[in-house]
Amino acid sequence: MQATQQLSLPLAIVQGEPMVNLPKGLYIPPNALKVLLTDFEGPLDLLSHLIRTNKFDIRDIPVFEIARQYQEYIGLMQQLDIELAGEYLFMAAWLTEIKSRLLLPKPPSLDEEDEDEDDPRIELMQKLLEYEAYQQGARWLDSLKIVGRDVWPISIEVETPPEVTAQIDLDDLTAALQNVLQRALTKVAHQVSEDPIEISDKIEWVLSQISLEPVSMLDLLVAQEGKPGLVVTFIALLELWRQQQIELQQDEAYADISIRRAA
Amino acid sequence: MTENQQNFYPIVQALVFSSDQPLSAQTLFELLQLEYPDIELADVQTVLAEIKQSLAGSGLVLAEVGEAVRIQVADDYLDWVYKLYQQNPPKLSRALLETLAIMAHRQPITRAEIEAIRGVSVSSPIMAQLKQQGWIKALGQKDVPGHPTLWGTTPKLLEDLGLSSKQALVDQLETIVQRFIQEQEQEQSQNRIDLDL
Repeated sequence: MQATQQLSLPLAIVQGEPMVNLPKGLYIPPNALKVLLTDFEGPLDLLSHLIRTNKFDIRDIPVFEIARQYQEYIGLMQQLDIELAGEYLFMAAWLTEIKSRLLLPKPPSLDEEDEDEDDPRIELMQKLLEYEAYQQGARWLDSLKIVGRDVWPISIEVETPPEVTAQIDLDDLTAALQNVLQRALTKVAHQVSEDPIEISDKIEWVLSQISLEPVSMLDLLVAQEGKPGLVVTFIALLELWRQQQIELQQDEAYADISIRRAA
Repeated sequence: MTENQQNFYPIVQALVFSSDQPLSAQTLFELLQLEYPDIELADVQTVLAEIKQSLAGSGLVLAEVGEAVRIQVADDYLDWVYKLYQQNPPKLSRALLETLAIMAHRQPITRAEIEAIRGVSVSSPIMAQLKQQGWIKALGQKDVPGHPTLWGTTPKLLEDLGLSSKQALVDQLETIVQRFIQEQEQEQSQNRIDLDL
């Protein structure tokens, strides 16, 4: 009985009567109880706490009593508006299920030895034991000297030569491109071009060629000037002919044309 | 120290101080062997012991981490370092440690399997913290519907915990878990005897 009242103790004892429910209007620093209640790492942790504080045998859990205390805790949490993880409610349902299965008369078993395996509490017990075992494991981890918490390793930073790595973003790339373009604008490549053959020059040259005597048209063509030279010479001849500065004479069809100064 | 060992002393000292992870005597031995073919592993160990001795009374210690050694701030002065950086030593919550213990022992393991053992969901911030510490990593996917990620521990965790191997971690947890369950069984049989009497 004493054990069952342990839960009620944190609340109050009024005239020897344990107060289980919080009286309306009573001010309890809400954080005090909340801290205690939210400290549980889930329903298994809460159950394990209840079993340990009541000094119950985990292999023989008094489910009715544990379920009652568990419900009380859940009720308290809800009263304090602590948001309950669904797992807490699932555990409450499971406890209720175990309770009801214990209440049902057992079907006659053929094998007496089987009795233990029918116990609906076994699965719960195994889960609790496994969880508690890992709590031990967690405590062991916690006891270690952990780098970043209990250990501050020291290493003298050795300055390694900076590697040239491309750490470029789009802006850098655009800026670089603009730079290149700017430079390209200031630099104009020297263009090597052919000397143009001017018609006026050609006219003068033709006139100088024919100043003394008539010249064959074929002789007026300069091989090095190529096709453009030929065209310009032809145009120059046409121009001179239009201005009536030269006379053209062809003795017969397809014969050479001779050019001389107009009289 | 022999004359030879005195030659190695500054080299080993430079190496252990500048290494950013624990150095094993074997690693140092192999490195020195390139230059000094007649060096022996025992020489390295003697020099390491000498360095450890020389740090006595300073704010630093040469600590053993599994098979390796590392220079670190002496425990007594750790608070000062935290003050310098205006930090408090980070706390590792129970939820995080429980999750880590289960994951380390049962790896590779899915999040749902951890939740089944803890009886409560593993919160994302805890997974994020473990990942951020570089202590856990995804090892693959479990070949069941939904292909949940399988998690396991990293070499960084072993280094940070000061353990020599993953096996050492798993074995130690196995021992703790089995011992606890056995103790509970003995307690129970003890109770039965009491009842019988």
